[in-house]
Amino acid sequence: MIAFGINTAKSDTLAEVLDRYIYLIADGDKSSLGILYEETRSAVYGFTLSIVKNPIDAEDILQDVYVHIYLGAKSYKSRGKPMAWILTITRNLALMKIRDQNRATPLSPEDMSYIRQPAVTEEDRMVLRAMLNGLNDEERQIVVLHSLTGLKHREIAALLSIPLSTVLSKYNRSIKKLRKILKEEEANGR
Amino acid sequence: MVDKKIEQRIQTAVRNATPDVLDKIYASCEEQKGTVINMSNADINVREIGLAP
Repeated sequence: MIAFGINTAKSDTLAEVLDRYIYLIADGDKSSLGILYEETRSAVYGFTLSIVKNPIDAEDILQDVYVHIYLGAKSYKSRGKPMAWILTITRNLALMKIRDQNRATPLSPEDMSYIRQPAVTEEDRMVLRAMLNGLNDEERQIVVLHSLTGLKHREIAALLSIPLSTVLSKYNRSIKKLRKILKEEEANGR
Repeated sequence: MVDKKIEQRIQTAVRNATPDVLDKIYASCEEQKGTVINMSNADINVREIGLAP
């Protein structure tokens, strides 16, 4: 989850904090880029992974997103939705990658092993596998956006251009699916 | 409650799996300084999808 705690007043909303960092980045402040990155990278990576389903591509896109933010911050106009701006850039770059490859590269066991950050546990791998293989594209994106970005269901509906009722029903269905898959995996001792 | 638990497991898994590419980002920013990236598409999309207030 996004956590903000650096140089922020208690009254600052999440959007205000992100806005401030983006404006500082526009002024060429690289340390603000680093802070923005630290605060949002899990959300950006999770959303990217949910679209491209491939950790290698997701890592490339993660990098590209922040380079785009750095180079595009000057043209950023606050509409009170900085996270939506960041996620729109993320989505555009991820879809462009899929278009360039003419397909979403399917996740293979080798790809899963590429997730080799030292912090990743077997439990984490099980959850990622369930999310990537057990849900369809829309379900996965909805669950990831809700879990990691702090966007509300109606904002997710707007971002993905689907009705709110669809987001709500797919979110509930996805959570049920994940619960079932994880229960089965745990019972099988994986 | 159960939903929150599942969401927490997803948060933990993704957070742990997220690679650290900050050095590469800084290097790319330096390389691409001076390159104009047109962000108007992202702006338009935010407006079109109704996220703009």
